[in-house]
Amino acid sequence: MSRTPAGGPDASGGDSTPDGPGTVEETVGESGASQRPTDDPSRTTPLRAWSSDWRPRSALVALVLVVATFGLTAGLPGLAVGTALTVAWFVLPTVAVFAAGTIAHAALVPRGAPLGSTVLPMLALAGLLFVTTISADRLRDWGVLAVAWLGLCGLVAIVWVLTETVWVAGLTLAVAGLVGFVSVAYFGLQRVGVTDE
Amino acid sequence: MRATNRFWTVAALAGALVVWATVLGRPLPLVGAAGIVAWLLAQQYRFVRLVEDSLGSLTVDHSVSRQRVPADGTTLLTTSVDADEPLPLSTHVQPSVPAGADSHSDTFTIERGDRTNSHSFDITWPVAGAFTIDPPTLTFRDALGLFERTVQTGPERAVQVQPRARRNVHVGEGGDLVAVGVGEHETGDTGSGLEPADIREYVPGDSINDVDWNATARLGELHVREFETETDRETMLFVDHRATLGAGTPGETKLDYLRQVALAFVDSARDLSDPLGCYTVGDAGLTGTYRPSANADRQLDIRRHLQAVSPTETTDRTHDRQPSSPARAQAVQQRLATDDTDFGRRLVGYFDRPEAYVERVAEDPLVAAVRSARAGHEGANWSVILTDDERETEVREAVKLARRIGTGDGGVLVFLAPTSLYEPGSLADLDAAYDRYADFERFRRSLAAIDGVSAYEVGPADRLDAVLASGRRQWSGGGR
Repeated sequence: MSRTPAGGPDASGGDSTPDGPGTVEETVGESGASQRPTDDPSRTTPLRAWSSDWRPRSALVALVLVVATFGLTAGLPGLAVGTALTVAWFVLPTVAVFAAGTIAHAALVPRGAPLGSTVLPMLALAGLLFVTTISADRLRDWGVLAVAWLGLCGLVAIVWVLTETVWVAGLTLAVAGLVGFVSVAYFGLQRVGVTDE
Repeated sequence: MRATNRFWTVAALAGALVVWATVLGRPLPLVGAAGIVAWLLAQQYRFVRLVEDSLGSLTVDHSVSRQRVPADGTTLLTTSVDADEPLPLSTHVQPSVPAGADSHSDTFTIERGDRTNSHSFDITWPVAGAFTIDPPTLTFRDALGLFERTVQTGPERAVQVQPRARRNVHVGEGGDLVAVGVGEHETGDTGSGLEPADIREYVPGDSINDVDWNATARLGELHVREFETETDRETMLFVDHRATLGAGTPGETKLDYLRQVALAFVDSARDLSDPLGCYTVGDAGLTGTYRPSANADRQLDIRRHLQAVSPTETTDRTHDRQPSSPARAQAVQQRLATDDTDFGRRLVGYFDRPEAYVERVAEDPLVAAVRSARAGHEGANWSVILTDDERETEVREAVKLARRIGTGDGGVLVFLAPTSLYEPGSLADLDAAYDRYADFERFRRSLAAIDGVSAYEVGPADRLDAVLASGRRQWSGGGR
């Protein structure tokens, strides 16, 4: 791929060529940008791998809390699971560690366990999600996350109380999530106003 | 907004938690599922806001090194993106390349936290015409790679790709090249001017500047050189670019060759400051109308328009219709009037309205263009019609009309593209091609026989030579 300044000797096909059809004017773009140096196209980057995701070190604090609360709730197995989650955090995205922790939590905490045993590990896991909103040493939009989470939990709780059927509550959550996704997308469409999608 | 696979992977985690809750029969994992859904919604909301901020601070531009370029020429397209403040999102920029242009354009990226980047690449234009380079496409992606949004923003750029002059063009009569260039004209008078005409002896009153010193030295007496005077000649071009004019290989179509002739007239008019007008005719009627003008800008508009026209598309097969001329229809009607056979009586019904043929011919785009050009216009004295031989009756009527309503001592020049020289594969059987060329030649001569009309063929010289050589072989072999 050759690159020459505008109007340079590479201006093939102009009047200088014997077979030119006539006057071929050379016009530099209005911005004159054609004379700018060419940047390295190798800067094009694909989607970064999961492991290289932005992960704040403050998540380690949340993980320490996870290990502690799991240990308090389930003893040695809880400590083992908490430690495993911490190790997994170094290779898995934070949200995946959260999901794994939630699954383990439901398995470790027996039905009818004290409220503290149920809530404390869940709060520690929630801390993992909140630290992912940290950017430039600031929590960003944590309020949105909190309100949305509480709202969805409230909705699920209402459906659970009314139906006492887990899958119905789960289905309600899925529908609510879908409605939320479409609503935010529509909001974005209105705010930005231009799109080719 | 597009959710990436990564988004759906995370959403699947929430789904797994719902399943887990169902398996356990406990709602506790649903709290975690609600957390993941809420987290996704929060990320989505943040992404929407950051896209809005990014678009507000971005300036996107792209420019071409040349806005006019010959076919197969190359331009450098530079796309640049500048932001007022560091971008919060990774932004991929995809420059647009029009269909019909060749390039190896690359996407380039402005990383999160950067403010500017630009990229240049070459575009090759193999096809003549007017092209628009659409604004570049920006794709924003959040830090976690959950969402993408694609937006096209920035200015459009126009590029005019001019056809290269045909090296192989033949303009002539019956295979013989015309001796003079198109568009040139003389008055027959001598005086001041540019073209040398004659040398004569000096007489008192002649300007000393007109003395031809070479002739004086050679002949031993003072001689002056006279020049051809030139007059303004108003010329009207009628350029046919209907579907049939697209016959030929790409870049070598009838229209490509005729366009060169038309452009030569434009250049000649510009050089001589002659008034020039132009009508272009497509399948649906007039596609361009330029009243005669000696204004250089106006003529440049004509030139650009001629460079941009391409064969129009037709959905019907009207060009296959060969209507009879009104005169021929009348002649047939008179002959049938004396025919008492059943066949004659049945046939005469189809010719009882000769005026219908006048109406039908008048509806043909080329005839309509000539009529429109001449309506209410006085002074134009040359008409130049560029078309092919697919519609002989229409061309003949258009030529007659142009001749009849033309003014002054001008005439009509007809440049015809013989179909037999353009159709791909037509030279596979040279004898058949020669026969078709002979038919064309008869048509051309019939036009040239009209008073004040000159008719020329325009085509690729090498193909014409091959056809004529075949004809010579037929004759020398006594085949005809």
